[in-house]
Amino acid sequence: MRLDLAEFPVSRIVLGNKFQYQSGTLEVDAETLARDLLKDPRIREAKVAVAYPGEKVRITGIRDVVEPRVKTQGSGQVFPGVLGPVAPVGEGTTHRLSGMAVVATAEFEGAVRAGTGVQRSAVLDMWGAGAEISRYGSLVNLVLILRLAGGLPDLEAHLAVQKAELHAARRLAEVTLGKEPQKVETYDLARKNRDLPTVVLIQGCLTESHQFHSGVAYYGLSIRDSLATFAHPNELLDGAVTVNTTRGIGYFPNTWDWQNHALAMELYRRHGKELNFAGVALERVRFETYHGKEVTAHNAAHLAKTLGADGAVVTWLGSGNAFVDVMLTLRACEQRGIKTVLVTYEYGGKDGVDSPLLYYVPEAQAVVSTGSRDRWVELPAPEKVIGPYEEIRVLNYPGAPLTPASGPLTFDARDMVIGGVDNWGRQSWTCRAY
Amino acid sequence: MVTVVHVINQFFAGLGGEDKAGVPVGTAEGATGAARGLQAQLGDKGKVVATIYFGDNYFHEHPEEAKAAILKEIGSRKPQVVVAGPAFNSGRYGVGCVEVCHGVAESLGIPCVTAMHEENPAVDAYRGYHDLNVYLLPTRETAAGMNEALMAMAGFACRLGSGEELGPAREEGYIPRGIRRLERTDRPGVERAVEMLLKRLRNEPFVTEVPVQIWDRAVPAPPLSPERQATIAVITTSGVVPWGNPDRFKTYRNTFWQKYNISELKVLEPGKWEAVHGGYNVAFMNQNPHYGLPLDALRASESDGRFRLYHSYYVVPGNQGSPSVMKRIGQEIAADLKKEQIDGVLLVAT
Repeated sequence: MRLDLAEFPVSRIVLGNKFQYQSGTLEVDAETLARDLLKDPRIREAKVAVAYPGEKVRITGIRDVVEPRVKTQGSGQVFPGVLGPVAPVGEGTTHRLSGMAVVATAEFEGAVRAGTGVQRSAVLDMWGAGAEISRYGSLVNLVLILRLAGGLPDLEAHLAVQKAELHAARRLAEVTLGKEPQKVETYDLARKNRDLPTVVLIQGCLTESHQFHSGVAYYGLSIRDSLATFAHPNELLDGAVTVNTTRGIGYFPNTWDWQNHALAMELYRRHGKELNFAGVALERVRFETYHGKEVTAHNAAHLAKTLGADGAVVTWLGSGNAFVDVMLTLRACEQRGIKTVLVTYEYGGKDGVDSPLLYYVPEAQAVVSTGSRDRWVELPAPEKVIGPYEEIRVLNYPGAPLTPASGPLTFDARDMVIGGVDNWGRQSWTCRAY
Repeated sequence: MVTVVHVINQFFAGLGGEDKAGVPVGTAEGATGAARGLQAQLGDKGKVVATIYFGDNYFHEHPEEAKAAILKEIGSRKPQVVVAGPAFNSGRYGVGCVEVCHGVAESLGIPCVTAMHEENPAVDAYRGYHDLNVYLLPTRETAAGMNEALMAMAGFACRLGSGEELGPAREEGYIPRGIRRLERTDRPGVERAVEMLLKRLRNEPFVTEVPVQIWDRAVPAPPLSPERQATIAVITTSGVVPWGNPDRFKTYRNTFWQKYNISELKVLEPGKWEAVHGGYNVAFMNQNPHYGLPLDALRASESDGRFRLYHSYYVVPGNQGSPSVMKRIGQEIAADLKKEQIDGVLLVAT
C-alpha cells in the first residue's frame, strides 16, 4: 500500500469570493462555504473567520481541529465511513493543505450534566503562553463558527459539527486539484530493509463504550469493547480515524492529530533506514475490570508479536484508569521479548511534586515524558475573541459560573486548551527532576 | 566571598563518639572539626563564619529544642549558605542534617546543602519535603569519602551563595527532591522516543525520563469482631451528591470531601441525587444512585441487627484526584471516622 502525500503549504488565508490556491495563499469563498454548511438544518448559524499565529486572538468553543485533505488517486476518499462510503483508503495520492487547520467551534449546550458524555469545548490563544503550549498555535487557522439548533440530541450535534468541518476541509483541499505540489512524500511500509529491527506503534485508545460516540472511530465506527486491531498508518493519513466532536478537550487528540500522527510519522521517517515500521495496533484501553485490562494488554502484545515486532512504541490518549491497561501492555510486550518505550504526558500537580504517573509496572523502564498536563496556565486578556462563546466555564461542574473570554484566564490544568496536552510527543516538552 | 555556617554532629566537631552523643547544641566561631576541611575546600571563595554542633542522641531525643536552637544560631549570623554534614550512612546524623536544612529553608529562606549516602534513611524525608532551597549530595557509605564530599559541598555552597540557579538533578549530581519541572528540550518527544527504542534494541545504555515509582501498600485492618454490633459508614468516590450539587464539587480534581445525612432515608430516589463525576457515564448512576451508595441493600442487612449504619455518608468525586490531595482527604476522613467511633467502612470506588 503506497500513498503519495502531496503538500501545498498555506501561509495566508483570504476570505474572498472564490476558492483558489496560489503560492501559499488560500482564498476561501466564505459566503458559499457558510451557505453550504447551513444546508444542514441542524446548523442555525455558520460564520468563517481567520486567526494567524501571533495575533492577540482567543478562539472559543473549539470542538475539533482538522487538516484539509482530498484524495486525487486511489480508492476511496478522505474520511471514509463519515463523509463517504466505507471504501479502503491509504493508497494512491492525497493532497494536503499544510501549515493550516480548520478549527471547528460550535455553540451547543447538550442534555448531559456530567460524566464522560457531557459536552466540552476548549479555547486556543494565537499568541503568548497559550499559543506556545498548543500545537495549533503555530498554524494559520480557518475558524468555523457554528451555532446549532436548540434541543439537538448529543449524537445529532456531533454529526452536524463533524460533517461541517470535514466537508469544509475537503472542499478547501479541492483547490489544489490539477496543481503542482511543493513537495511529495511517499509512504510505503513494503520498502523494508531485512537487517533492521521491526517496530510497531501500539496506540492505546481510551474509549467510552457506553456513549453515543466512544471518542475514537475507525471508518466512522466507534471503537467500543473491541480487542486490538491492525491499522495501516496510511489509513490514518487519509482520515480513517475520527473523533467525537462534542468534546474538545486538551488531553484528547483531534482529527488533525490522527491525520498527522506524530509517532507514526517519525517511525515512517526512519523506516527502511534505522528500523522497519510494521504498522499500528489500535488498542482499546479503559476496560472496567482488571481482567479486561489484562486481556487487552495480552491481545495487543500478541498482535505486535504477530507483526514481527522486536520493539514497540506504546502511547495512549485520555486519562485515568485507562493508563493501567497501557502499563499492563508494556509488561505484556516485555514478557514476549518486545522492547518498549512509553510516550506519555505526566501529571504531578500544580508544583510538580505529586506522582508524575498514576500507575507503574517494573517493566516500564523506558519512558519519554511529553510534559505535564497539570501545571497551571495563566492566559492574559486577548484583543479579540473569535468563536460562539463570549463567556466560558473555566470550572467544570453542573451550575459552574461563567467567565468572560475577553479577560485573563487561569486554568488549573491544560485540559481547557485545545492541543494543550502533547499526547504523542510532537513538541519538545518534557519534565525534569530537580 | 560566600559566608557559610557549617552544621555537624559531636563526632565530627571533635567532641567524641557515642559517649558524647548526648551533648546539646553548641556553637564555635569560625571553622572547627570537619568544618576546617570545608574551609580548606572553600579556599578564598568562602568563609565558615561559625560551626554549630549537636549530639546525635540529643537531636534524636529533643528534635524540636535542638532544631530551634540551631535555627536561632543560624538566624543571628545570617550566612548566605548553610552546609550540614556529610552524614554518610549514619541515620541519626542524617536526620539531623535533613531536619535542620528543612527548617532553614522553611523559616529563614537560606539555601542549604547537605550530603549523605543514598541509602541513609533521612533521604526519604528529604524527598518528601520538596524544598527548593535544599540540595542533598550523594556520598560514599563511610567517612572515607570525607574529602570528596566536602569538595562537592563547597562547590555547591559557592554556587548557591552567588545566587546561581542550579539545573536538573541528573546534570548537577544532587539527589532529586521529588520536584519535576516542565521544560523544553532540544528535540521533539517523538525523536527522543524512537531513539530510546533504537538504543534498547541495540542493547545500548539509555536513560528513562520518568523513573518507576513504588507506591505505598495499605495493610488491611483486622476483621470486625462478631461479638458486638459494629457501626458502619459508607465512603463513595462515585460523586453521588444531593441533586443540584450544593457544595459545588467539580467533576474532576476535587480538593475537599463532604458528609451528607441519610439517617431518615430508606432508599435514594432518582432525581433527588446526581453523580458529579467526569470519569464515567453518569446516566446509570443518576437513574439508580444505589450503584454509588447502596443504601437499599445496607438498610435490608441492617434490619438483621448485625450492624448499625452511621447517620451520614462520606463523598468525594474521585475523578483525576492528585495522589497527595487524595491522601490528605483520606487522612481527614479517617480522623473523622475515628472521632465518630465508626468501626468499619464500606468504600464504594468507581
